Amino acid sequence: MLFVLVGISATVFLIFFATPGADPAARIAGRNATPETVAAVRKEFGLDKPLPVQYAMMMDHLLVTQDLTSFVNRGEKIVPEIVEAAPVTLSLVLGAAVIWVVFGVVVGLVAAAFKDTLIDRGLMVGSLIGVSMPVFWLGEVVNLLTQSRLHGTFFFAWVPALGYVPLRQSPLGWFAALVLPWITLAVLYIGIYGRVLRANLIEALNEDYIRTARAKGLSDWQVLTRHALRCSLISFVTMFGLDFGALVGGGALLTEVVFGLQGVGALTYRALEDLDLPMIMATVIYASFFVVVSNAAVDILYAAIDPRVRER
Amino acid sequence: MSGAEQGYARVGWDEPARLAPPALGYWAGALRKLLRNRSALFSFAVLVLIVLACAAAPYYARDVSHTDPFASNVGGSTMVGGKSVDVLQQATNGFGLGLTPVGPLWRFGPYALGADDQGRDVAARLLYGGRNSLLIGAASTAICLALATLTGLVAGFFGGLVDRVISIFLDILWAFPIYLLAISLSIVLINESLGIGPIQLNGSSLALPILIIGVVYVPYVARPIRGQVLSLRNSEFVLAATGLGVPRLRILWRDVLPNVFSTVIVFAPLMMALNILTEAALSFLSVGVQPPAASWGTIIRDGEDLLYTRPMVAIAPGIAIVLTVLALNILGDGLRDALDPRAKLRVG
Repeated sequence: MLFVLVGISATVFLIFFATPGADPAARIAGRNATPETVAAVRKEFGLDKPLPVQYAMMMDHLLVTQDLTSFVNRGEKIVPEIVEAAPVTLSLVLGAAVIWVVFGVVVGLVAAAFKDTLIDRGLMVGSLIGVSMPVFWLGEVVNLLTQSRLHGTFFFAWVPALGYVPLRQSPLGWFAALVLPWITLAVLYIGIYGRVLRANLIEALNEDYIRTARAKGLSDWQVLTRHALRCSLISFVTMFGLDFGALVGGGALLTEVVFGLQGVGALTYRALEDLDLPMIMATVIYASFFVVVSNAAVDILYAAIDPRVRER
Repeated sequence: MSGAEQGYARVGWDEPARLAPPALGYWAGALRKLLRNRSALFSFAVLVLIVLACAAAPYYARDVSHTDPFASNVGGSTMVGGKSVDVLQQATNGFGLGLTPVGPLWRFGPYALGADDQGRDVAARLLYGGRNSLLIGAASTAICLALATLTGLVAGFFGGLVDRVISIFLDILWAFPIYLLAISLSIVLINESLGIGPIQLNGSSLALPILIIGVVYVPYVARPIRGQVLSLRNSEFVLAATGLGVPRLRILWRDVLPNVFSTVIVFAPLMMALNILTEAALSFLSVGVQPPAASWGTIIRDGEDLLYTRPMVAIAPGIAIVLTVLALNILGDGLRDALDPRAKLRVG
């Protein structure tokens, strides 16, 4: 696991510091900098040292002494920025996760229970449409409707301006500002999870133990929820672990950018846009950390849920 | 994977049973199943229409909209119902400052969907943008599938150290949050251009998004393929061939590859859908297609500032994306039902 983390940070470092044709000093110095300026910048930021030394220095500043400063906004400390942005992303992702898990399970269950009827078809088409929409476009459309066109009507007059309201400041404001981003982010995942769950349920329903359950006299609904669902939730849970990990690390950057939420994703994007190398390294490591941790957690969880895996 | 479906022929009550000649083989059977799938056929038709419309972009620009979709037309004007109307008019909302482009005119002529902030015809740009979006989607899918098949085959079939090295490499690649990796690579390569030996790719070349999106999704496809190759390696016909002394490469080519091929075909439309969405996201963040070229993502970005006044500029490309991706997904589902009905390899 540590190996993967080191590998990722090293790769990102190489991408930004060592691509053929790239010169970080020239980037920092700006477009029309004189050679003297570029050389001075290079010395000041330690860019003339060998690459492994630079990498080690940056990791040291980031993880050990935690006083890494931005290249672009002089004096801005990186680690506090990330610490400040983390709750925003966490709020967004947690809320969306609750919504998409609940609705994903409902959609999958109902579609499998009413297989091949109009309800099933409708739900699956709806899920497909949800999966086919670019999330940032959906966010823009939602903004258009709730901030502008329908803002005056009863339905959306309560929608606050784009941005994040800290929970401590006003719980109601926090909730109101996040409801629409939650729904927007959840739509895509409800589509994916609903379809996967439905497919798993249908596959499970063909198994022999379901036939036994039916023969025992259980109702269709009981069979579905108490027997088939447990097996089908395995891949649901593992997918959820991976997706949640990726999102918390900053994968929701499109949603954050569109709704003006200053979370880790938006921070990452800003860092990438400004080519602020220390910030980029920090956010990428933050994101990869969560991805790697969630991968490991999902592996463990998978073994815990499915005893068959343990025997291997 | 047995081919023939065997049925029994109808015989008289006093004759012994006979086997009917085999029904269709695997590929023919799959094709028939696909052709019977009405939604898949309909989606295919929609896709063909979209491709044709985008291919006809130059004709639309020249003959229908009479504008240059890439040239700024800030001072231009157009005829509406006999009167000449400025393309960019004084804003009437907010503070009344600035210029508002003309809105959708809903006709088969200039500015059918309105103008953007540079006075360009949105409908014409939509078609031109579609060319780039579809091209990038298709090319990156081709690259992704080719690379993934190669790595999956090699890792799964040869096993051992080769497999471990490839798997670790794929794991590291996949551990990157996809958008982060794609954005990072795009930013660096767009700003600096890519120079590897004799190949020089300019920052605004379309090959950059194609390569980046293609490479980033390789682990996603390579893993299932590697899994399938691993299980095929232990199948009876491969073991039989090995026992007969058939050289390994020949087994790879004649036994393993055809089986993997059906998986790759199922992946193709689904990956293209995913790639189109990724390209749109990258272009929206200004790290995909670079101006003056357009793609559906860049047009959405152009429309972001005009969202509350002229929403059609941002909405139309999104609708185009939804239609294309939806059609690709439905087609992909149909292909999967036809080729892999037990869904041994499910893609999300």
